[in-house]
Amino acid sequence: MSERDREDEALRERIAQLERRLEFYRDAYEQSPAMLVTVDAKTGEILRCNRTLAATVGRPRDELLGLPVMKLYHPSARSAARRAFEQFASTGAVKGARLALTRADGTAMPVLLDATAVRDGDGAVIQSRSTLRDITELVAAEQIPRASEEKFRNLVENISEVFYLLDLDGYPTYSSPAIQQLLGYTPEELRQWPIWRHLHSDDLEAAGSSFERTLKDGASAGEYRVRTKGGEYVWIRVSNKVRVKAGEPAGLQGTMIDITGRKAAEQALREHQEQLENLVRARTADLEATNRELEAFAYSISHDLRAPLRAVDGFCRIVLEDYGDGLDEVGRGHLGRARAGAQRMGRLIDELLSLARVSRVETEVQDVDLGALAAAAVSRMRALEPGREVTVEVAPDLQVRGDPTLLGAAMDNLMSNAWKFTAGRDDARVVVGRTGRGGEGSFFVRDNGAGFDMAHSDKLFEPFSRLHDACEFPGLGIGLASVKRAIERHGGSVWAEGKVDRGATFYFTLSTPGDSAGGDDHGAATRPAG
Amino acid sequence: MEQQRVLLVEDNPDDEALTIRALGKSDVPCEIVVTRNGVDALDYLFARGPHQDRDPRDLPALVLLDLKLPKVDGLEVLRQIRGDERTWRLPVVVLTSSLEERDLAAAYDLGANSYIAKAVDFEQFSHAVRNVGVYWLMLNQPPPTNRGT
Repeated sequence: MSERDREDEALRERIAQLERRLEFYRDAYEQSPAMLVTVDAKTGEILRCNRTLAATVGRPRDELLGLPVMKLYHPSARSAARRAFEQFASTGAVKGARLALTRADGTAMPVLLDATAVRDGDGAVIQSRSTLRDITELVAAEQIPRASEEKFRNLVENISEVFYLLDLDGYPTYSSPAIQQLLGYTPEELRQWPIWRHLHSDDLEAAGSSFERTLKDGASAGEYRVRTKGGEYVWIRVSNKVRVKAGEPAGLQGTMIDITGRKAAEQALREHQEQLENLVRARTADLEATNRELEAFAYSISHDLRAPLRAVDGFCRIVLEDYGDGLDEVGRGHLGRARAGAQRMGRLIDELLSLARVSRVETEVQDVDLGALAAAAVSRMRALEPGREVTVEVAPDLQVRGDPTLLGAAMDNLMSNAWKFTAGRDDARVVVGRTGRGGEGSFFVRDNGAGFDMAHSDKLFEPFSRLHDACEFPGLGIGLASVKRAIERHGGSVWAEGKVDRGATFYFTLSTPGDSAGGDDHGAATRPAG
Repeated sequence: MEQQRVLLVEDNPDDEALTIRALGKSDVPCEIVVTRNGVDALDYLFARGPHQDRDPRDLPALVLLDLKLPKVDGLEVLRQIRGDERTWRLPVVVLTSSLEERDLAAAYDLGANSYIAKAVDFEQFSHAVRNVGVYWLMLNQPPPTNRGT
C-alpha cells in the first residue's frame, strides 16, 4: 500500500468515525427527552428542532422550521416568553424560565427554558440554542402545597381577625392585612416597631408579662388597649402561642380582634346597672322615708284622734249622768247617738291602725298550728257570746310556716267572720280544714251562714267595703282586708266562694313545714274537708 | 284617813276633766294634783321652780303619766323619775292613747309600773281609771321610802 493509499485509508477511517459520532449526536439530539430548538437570533424563527419538540407540539418538523418560535408558546405564557427573550437579548442567556408550550390538543404544557447564545467570529449573537424541559409533574407536585398555602393565606388575609407573628423582641414580622383596618398601619409600617409602642401605658405591664409567660408556658390571652395610627385607642383581644424553632422559642404567633364595641357595650351595661342600682337605692330610700312618715302619721292618729273622740263620748255621758233628768227621751237619744258615733269612729281608727300594722310589722316565721289559732278564736267568741250554739270542726295537723301574731289575727278575723254570719242559724256550723285545691298548703274556713253573691266577691277583701247591712251584721269592713294583707305578706293568696244564704268558704294558701325544709314529708297529711 | 295624793300629768284639758271625774266617782278618796307638761311635773316632784317651797320628801302616792306631753315628753319624765334615788320607787302608771308597741316597750324598759290605754268609750275609760285608783291606792302596798311622813 502506497503512502497516499494509507493516507486515504486514514482519512476515510476518520470520516467514518466522524460520521458515526455525528450519527450518535444526531440520535442523541433527536431522542433527547428534552425539547431542543435553535432559533435565529435576529428573526426569532426556528432554524432547527428535535423530534421531541415536534411530537410535543404535534406538528411535522417541516412546518416548524421557519416558524416564529413565539407561536409555540401557550397564550398564558406569551408575556413570560417575551420577558425571557428580552433577557436573552440583553444577557445572552436564560436560565430556568418557566414558560408553557401549546400541546397538540391546545392545552398548556409547563416547561423550563434554558437558552445559550451562539456567536459569530465577532462575538455577535446569531442564534439561540434552547432546551425546554417538561415540568408538568413538578408543577403538579408544587400545586399541592401551594393550593393549601393559598387556602390558608386567603383565610388569614380575609378574615377580620388579625393574624400576626412576633419575634422575640416583639416586632411583628408578619401581620395580616386586616391590621390596617384595626390599627391604621399597613403590615409593612407595623413591622418597624416593637408592638409595645402601640400599647396603652396602663396595659404595658400586663402585656409584657403575658408575653414572657407565653414564651414559657406556651399560650395566653389578654385584652389590651392599643393606639391606632390616628391616635385613638381601641380595645383588642389577643390569643398568643409560642413559636418554636429547633427546640427554642422563636417568638409568638397570635390573633387579634377588635373588641372595642364589646367593651363599650360592657361599659354601657355596667353604667346601666349602676344607674339601676342607684335608682333602686333612691327608691328604697324614698319608700323608707314614706314608711317612716306613714308610721309617724299612724302614731299621731292613734294619739291625737282618739282624744277628741273620748271628749265627745265622755262629756255626752257626763251630760246624761248629771243632767239626764232635765232631758226628754228624744234629747237623751240624740246624746246616745253622738256617743255611738264617737265610739264607732274610735273602733275604725283602731282597725285602721291594726290594718296598717299588718303591712308594717316585721314578721318572724316559725311553725304555727292553724288549728290551735282557730280553737283559741272560738273560745274567745264563746266567752263573749255564751248563748250562741255553733258547731266548730277543726281538722287535725294544720301546721304552717308563718308569723304567729299575723296569722293569729287572720284566723281571729276569719273565725269571727264565720261566727258573725252564722248568727240566726239553728244549725250554725264552722269547719276549718285543708284542701287539695291550689296545692298542698291550701286551707279553708267554711260556714253555713248568710253567704254572699259571687258577683260581688271582688269587693270582699277591700277595706271598708261591706256586702251586708250594718244593722243585720255589724262590722267595719276591715277584717277580711287585713286577712288578705296578712296572707299576702306570707306570699300566699286568699279567695272566697259563696252563695247567698248558703254559706261561704274562705280559702288561703300558706307554706307548710314540708315546703321550706324539704325534710319531713307532710304530703300525706291532706285530709278530707270535714 | 288622810287623803292620798295622785299626780296627774296630762296636757289635754278634756282628758284631765274626764280623769278627775272618773277618779272622783271611785270609792277611793284622793287629792289630785295636775301638771300639764313634763317640766312642771318634774319641778313638782323634785320641788323646783314654782314648786320650790314644797317638801321634796312629800311624794304623791301615784303618778298618772301621759306620754305625749309638751316640752319634756312622758318617757323622759319617767326616765328622770327612775334616775333619781328620791323617786325611783315611786309608782308610775302610764295612761295614754298610744297603743304603739314601741311606746309600750319603752315605758316598761324605763320602769313603768303599769301601762293603761285610754279608751275612746268613756265607760271603759272611767272603769279603767277607777280600777287603777283602787289598785294603786288601796290594794297596793306602797314602797317603804314612799310611806307618808
